Amino acid sequence: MEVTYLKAINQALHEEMRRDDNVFVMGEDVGELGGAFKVTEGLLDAFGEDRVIDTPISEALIVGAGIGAAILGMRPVLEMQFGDFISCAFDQIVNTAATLRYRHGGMASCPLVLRAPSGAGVHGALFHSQNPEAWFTRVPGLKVVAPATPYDAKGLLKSAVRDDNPVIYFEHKRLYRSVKEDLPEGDFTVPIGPAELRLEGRDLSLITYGGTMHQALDAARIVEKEDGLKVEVLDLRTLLPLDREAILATARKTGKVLIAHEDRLTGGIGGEVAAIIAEHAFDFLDGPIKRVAALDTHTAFSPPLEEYILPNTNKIVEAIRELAAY
Amino acid sequence: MSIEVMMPQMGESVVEGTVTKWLVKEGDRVQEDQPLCEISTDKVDTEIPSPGAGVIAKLIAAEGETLPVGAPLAVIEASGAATGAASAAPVAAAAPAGVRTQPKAAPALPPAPGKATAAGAPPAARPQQPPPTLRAVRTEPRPQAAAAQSASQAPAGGASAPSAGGSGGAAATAGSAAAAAPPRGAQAPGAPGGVAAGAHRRYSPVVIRIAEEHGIDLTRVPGTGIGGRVSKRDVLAYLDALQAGQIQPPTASSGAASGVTNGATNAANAQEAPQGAPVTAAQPSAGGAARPSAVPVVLPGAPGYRPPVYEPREGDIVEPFTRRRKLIAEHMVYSKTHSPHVGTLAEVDLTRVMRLRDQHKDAFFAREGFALTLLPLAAAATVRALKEFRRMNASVVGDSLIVRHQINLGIAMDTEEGLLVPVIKAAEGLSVVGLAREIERLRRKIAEKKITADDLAGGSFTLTNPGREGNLFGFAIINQPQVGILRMGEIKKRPVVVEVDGEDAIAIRTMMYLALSYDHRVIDGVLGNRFLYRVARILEEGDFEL
Repeated sequence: MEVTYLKAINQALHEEMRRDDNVFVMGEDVGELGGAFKVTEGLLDAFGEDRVIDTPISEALIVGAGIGAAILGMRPVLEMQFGDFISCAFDQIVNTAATLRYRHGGMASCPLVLRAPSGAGVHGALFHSQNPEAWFTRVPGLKVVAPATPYDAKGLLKSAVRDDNPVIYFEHKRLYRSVKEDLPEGDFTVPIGPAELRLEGRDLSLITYGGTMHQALDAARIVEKEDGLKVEVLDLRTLLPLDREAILATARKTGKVLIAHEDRLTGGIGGEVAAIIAEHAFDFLDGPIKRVAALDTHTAFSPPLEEYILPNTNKIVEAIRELAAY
Repeated sequence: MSIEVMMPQMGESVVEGTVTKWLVKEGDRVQEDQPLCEISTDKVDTEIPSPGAGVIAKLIAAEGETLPVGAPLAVIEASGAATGAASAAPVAAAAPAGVRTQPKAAPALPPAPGKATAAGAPPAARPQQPPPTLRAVRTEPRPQAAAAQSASQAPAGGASAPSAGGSGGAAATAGSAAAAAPPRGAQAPGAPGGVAAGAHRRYSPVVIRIAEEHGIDLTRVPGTGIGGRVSKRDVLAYLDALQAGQIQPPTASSGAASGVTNGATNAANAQEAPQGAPVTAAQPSAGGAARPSAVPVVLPGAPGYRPPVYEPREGDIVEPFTRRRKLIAEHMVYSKTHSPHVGTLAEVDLTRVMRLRDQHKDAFFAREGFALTLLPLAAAATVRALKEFRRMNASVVGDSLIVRHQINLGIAMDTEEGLLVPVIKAAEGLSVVGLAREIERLRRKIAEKKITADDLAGGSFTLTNPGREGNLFGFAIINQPQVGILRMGEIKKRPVVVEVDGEDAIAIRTMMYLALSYDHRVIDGVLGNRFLYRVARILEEGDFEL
């Protein structure tokens, strides 16, 4: 049966809560309302208010309480209603959750999941459009994932719940209802770490993740049809730790790399990916490593301005053509 | 606001050009489209029109300098109108690849070719439709030209000699430039066609790695990337061709590029700079350039043979190869060393077809405005025979014979600068009159120096007619990668034996020898003979619509 990205997340929550009594959900409006986007719909009825907890509007509280529960053996799945406000819990995440195992010499762990609906392209303006992943991808002790498909959304969330480390799970709001997929029956997981080659190619590697993955695939199809270019599309899926082998393999194969993400250019993960390639695959490069990313500004409310700021299929197509011709 | 004039892309396969003559000087006021300089490439000669109105701020390229496509030639300080238009160009589009702006330049970059033209910053040679990626607006001249100029004035280094007087001087100066091997801007010794060794010959890491692994001299690899850049694909294609034996690996005759110091090669390259200017050998001490063969050259395929050392004698004239001559020479040597030629000869009785021509020539001239010659008739016979013998209309590519579907008939034509072979495309669809018109059109284009690289590309078979006088017959060298070439001989009246009413008789007939050279790698004797016989018979029968 075709399942949306949103439904895939919802299924993963249901299944994990059924599988393990220690799993519980906590966040703003996750219970009675079923979540601002209806991601947690049905959980309250199925599992009761002890395991589906509505909280006050305080991200620091949600994460702080979650850390405490995790230390004591629970497996909290915490929701930031909008990923934009994850910064309110920044200290709890980077100084407490991420360091816990280290501080205790490996004797303690913090198995929590932080779900962060993120991303732009939904006319949400600057406080409801952010892609905050890069704040966290330089923090040891965390894992960061950003699924692009319903299959990965479900499989990665299950892996995140079962992981003994704090995992930040960025789910792209634009994908909630726009992507659908037939999912296999029964339990399956997607491992944290490996990237996925979405399209095999020859002329150029397009490395991407999250919402931009679909634009990248569309762009690859366009240039294949119109220019005869075979673009290889690598979906990172996990942003921390990065799948260096997959990144280097595709870079070495094609010699030309374009990185596309919706996060801003400066300090985005693309810079790190580019550095890995420059450092370890330099002798294979046949052109500059290029990036398509959001402009270094805030996401505008005005739709034409938002369009101007964000990457899209056309911008990726243009960048592919430029790099291919180089 | 400055406009940079760049070496235009003058055809798909053209990667570089030589500035043969500047038509303006620094400080001159120029109008848009006013010719700025003459450019010569391996395929065409053309004038570069000014991309905008303004004052010539700087001539970057020197006369005689060979530069890759996209290299800066001159800077024009644009006048008011152009500046305004450029500033008005929209900001939105991302800069296309290859467009280089200085940080302080106007942020506006024309997103579309049409806008670029309006902005007064089109590419140098608009008629040739260069790709939009080469259009550029720049505010500063590159330092490269200065480097090149100072290099050519620098002390002569290894080839140092007291400044030579007389006409030997130019060659000596150029010799210095090559011998001194300055890091930027000057000619790369040994690079075919003298590709500049400067910014435009940087290679990506993967290209360098592949070249090192396989010992490839990158200056020999044609580039298809932006501005003639050599991409990974280019070097891999070159490697394939090398391994398939289609390309001769570099030998000592081009050894300077691979680090072998070879006086003769340096000298030969140096002479490319003052292109076309014959130099007398009266000053043999004027530097390496005046002694092209001072050091023996190892010939490809003949490692044991050394041509005798040239001793300059007063009155000798040293005529440096022009760029086109060099390429012709390379092509001829390539063809002779790669494809075993077989020559076969047919006798053609032209009496009937010449009579046909005589009957129609006045009406033809009145109708078409040019004379009807035997050439279009021979071309028609060739095309007709090629339709029957498809394998003669073919190319050798690697280990394959590629039988070409379309008949693109090359017609060799003599020009002031050397032989050119313009191509009649899709000749299979043309009548004799159509072929005649095409030949005339191409001939005129050559005469007017308007022939384009595309006119010369894509031939699948060649016909040559090297003049009727004193040429009984001869065998032409195959135009690679084609598999055969027909050469017309002298048309002469001769007594021949003919059969009249079952009796042999001697008659005076208009005769011509028609010679076919074919590539014996792919064409066997039976096919070659049958094809030639067929052309001869078609021509003899003279069954042409005029």
